[in-house]
Amino acid sequence: MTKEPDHYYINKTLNGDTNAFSYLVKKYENMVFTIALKMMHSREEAEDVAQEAFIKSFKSLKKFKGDAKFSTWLYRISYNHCLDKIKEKKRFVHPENIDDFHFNESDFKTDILSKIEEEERKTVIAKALKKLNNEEQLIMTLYYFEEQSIKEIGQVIGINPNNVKIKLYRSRNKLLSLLKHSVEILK
Amino acid sequence: MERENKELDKTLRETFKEIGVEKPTSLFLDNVMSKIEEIKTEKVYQPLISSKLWWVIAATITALVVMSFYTTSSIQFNELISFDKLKLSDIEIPSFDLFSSLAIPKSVSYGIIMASFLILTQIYFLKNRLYRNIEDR
Repeated sequence: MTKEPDHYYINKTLNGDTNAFSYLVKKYENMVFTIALKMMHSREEAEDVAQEAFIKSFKSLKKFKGDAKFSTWLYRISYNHCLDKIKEKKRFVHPENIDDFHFNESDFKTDILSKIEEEERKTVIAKALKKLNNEEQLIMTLYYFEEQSIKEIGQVIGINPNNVKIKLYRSRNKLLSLLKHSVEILK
Repeated sequence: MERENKELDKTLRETFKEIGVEKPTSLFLDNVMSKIEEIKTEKVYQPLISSKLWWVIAATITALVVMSFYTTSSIQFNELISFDKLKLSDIEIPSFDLFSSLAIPKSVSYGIIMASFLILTQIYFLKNRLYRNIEDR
């Protein structure tokens, strides 16, 4: 796999070289699959939806103007496709009611994480993350893993940057509440 | 507070990197590419009537409508196409009088124009629907 920018492969694909698109699939398959999995909650369904999202993006590649990053455009297609699929199935995932876990601002936030053993941290956070709702999980993953900016996340999920900031803040606090709860159980 | 948030962000970022992202099955890429190859070999939809031809048809209909306002109570076909004027140097084409007895009342001509217009409109909507179906496949 070479290190040419995405545009190089996009142009090659548009000029008829469909194999060039495989580079883009290879590069983004994990993230697109992660988005689908966070929304669909079943690996089989998520794989199908992720494949369909790539095919959809291939079909509308001509419409990609290059104003935003290709990844942002692709994640937006994937996110919208997941929403369509959920709407089709009329299936809603009810997140755990975490309002019961009240998070106190005065708690030293990083302390919660440090209380969890290094080896356990990954598992505990992954479990806590699954308890957040679809959108919150997605925002957290895009921000902390994919390191997308607030503006880019807004473009992916179709809300304004200020709302992203608020949702990110709330998601983080919810996650910390869940982690605090886990720490208490682990004690 | 600001420092704490930054520290927390840093820790969360590190942890998220540790957790990583989910990976699809090893056949994912092959599946996507084979579906894309299928799309590529699919017959590309070509409209039967090109957009240029649609303009010509529209212009003809408009011309007919406009003409119908300037004609008398009936349209004589031999007034529209005069075979008498068709002469090629030495060869003289005999004049035809096929349509002289054929007179279309004005109301019938309006009817024909309207029917053609509705049929063409219907074709336009059916064509768009068909095209959408092909795109969604």
